[in-house]
This record gives sequence, C-alpha cells and structure tokens, in this order.
Amino acid sequence: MGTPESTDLTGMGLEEDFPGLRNGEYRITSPVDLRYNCFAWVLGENHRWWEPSADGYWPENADEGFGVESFASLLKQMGFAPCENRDLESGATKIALFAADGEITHAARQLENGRWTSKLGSDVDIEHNLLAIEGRILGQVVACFRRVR
Amino acid sequence: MPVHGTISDGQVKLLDPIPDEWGDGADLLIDAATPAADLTERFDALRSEWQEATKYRSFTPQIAVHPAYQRIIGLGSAVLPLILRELEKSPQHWYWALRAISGENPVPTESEGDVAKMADAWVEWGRRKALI
Repeated sequence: MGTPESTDLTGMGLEEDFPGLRNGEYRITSPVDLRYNCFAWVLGENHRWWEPSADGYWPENADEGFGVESFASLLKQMGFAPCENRDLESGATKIALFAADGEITHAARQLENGRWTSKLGSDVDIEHNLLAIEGRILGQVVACFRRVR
Repeated sequence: MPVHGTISDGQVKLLDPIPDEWGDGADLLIDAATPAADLTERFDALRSEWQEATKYRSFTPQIAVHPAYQRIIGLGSAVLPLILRELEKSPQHWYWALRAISGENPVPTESEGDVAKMADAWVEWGRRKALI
C-alpha cells in the first residue's frame, strides 16, 4: 500500500469553504493526512480514525451513535466536564463539539495560546478562531468541555 | 449537514434532503452495461466528485452518504478492482462501499480505525479473490 498521507499542504479552497477564515486569521499546520480525524486529533492522536463504527476506533463500553451525546459521554468518561466558558484558562484543556441537526460534525481543541486547532476531515490541520469554521459544512459549536491538564 | 439513507435491493434511498451544493448527481447516472473503459472513466469522475465534496467530513456516515459514493456502490462488483487499486495507493474511506458491495469484512476488530491496516486487509482480500 502507498503512504497513508499525501504531501499536499495547500489547503486549497479553505477560505471558499469556510468564509470565516477569509480574514486570514488562521494557518495550516499539517499536510493532508488520511489516517486520523478531528476526534482523534482533539484527544492528541494522529494515527487513528475515531468514530463509533466499523470504520473507526471507539473504546469498548463507550456510548455509540453519532449524536452529540455519545461524544459528550465519552469525553466525560475521559475526565472532561461540560463548561460554558470557551476562553483560555491556564492549566485546562478545552474541547468544542460542532453539530448540525443534532449529529456530530466536528471537534476542535484549544491551544495554550487561546486559539483552536482542528483536523478538517481527511484534509489539513489548521489553527483558527473557534467560530471561524462554523457554517454550512460543520454546523455550529454546541458544547464545550474542559479538563485540568 | 448530515444526511441519512438506506440501501435496499441495490437502490439508494435518501431519508433526508442532501445539501444543495452536492447536487443530485444526475449528470453521473450509470448505465449497467457500461464497457470497462467507460466504467473506469465514470468511476474516476464519481471518485473525484466524492473526495472533493467530503474532504472536510470527519465521520464515515457523512462521508459515505454522498450521492457520488452511493452511485459507486450502485455500480456493483465491477468496481471492486478499481476501489482496491485506489486502496493500494492510499487508505481512503472505501470500507463502507467494499462491505456493501461484497457483503464481507476482512478487517479484524483490533484494526478498526487504523486505516492503513484496514486498507492492507482489504487489498489482501482482493488478492485472495484474484480481483487485483
């Protein structure tokens, strides 16, 4: 089999697909990589695809389904607690869940500089302002979780 | 937005409206008697459309429900070699389609989520079946 990732670092079409990025306040931080998705990335992995199906890794005994509640439940099992405040808090890791029509679409993790990092599907990783990627593709931020580092 | 559908008797039925920007794929309708060269050409067109439209989707049900992907499934076993050759190049999300078309799943549970190992399992399956 060929290499799992391509060397494409262009992020072609990002600003067209995510109008919130058009102010330029983002940067691409990885090449395209097919091996991992957004949920793996928010949990610090970059070698597996996480989802509750035969196509992904999902911990045993974790709730299944693609509703937000399944992903929220798993985060709680991993020590995260729901939070309203999306601002930077020293010593805390925060994860935001995006959804459309009640179904999970994306997850992003806050960096120590207060900005957020996202793996966009099978495409690139970017550093961005949280709400800049809301829209027709990823829906809206619907929940935030925090865990002390 | 997430969309849902089912496959029954070779027919794809979408339960929700699909995003407007995905179109209805009407220009990519497949003739069951398509010659091999045309099949490859149409597969490539559908593959490109699907990959571009779903590259920011992070979960398989939202990736696999795209109309172009469903049309590839609708092409049936004739496209298995084409899909497997794609998997030899890179571990794209062909696993749903491969299971739907073949009715099999050679991926061991412990490899689920490791897309490189999943691709390897399917490529090996294809070689055993003399498909590639």
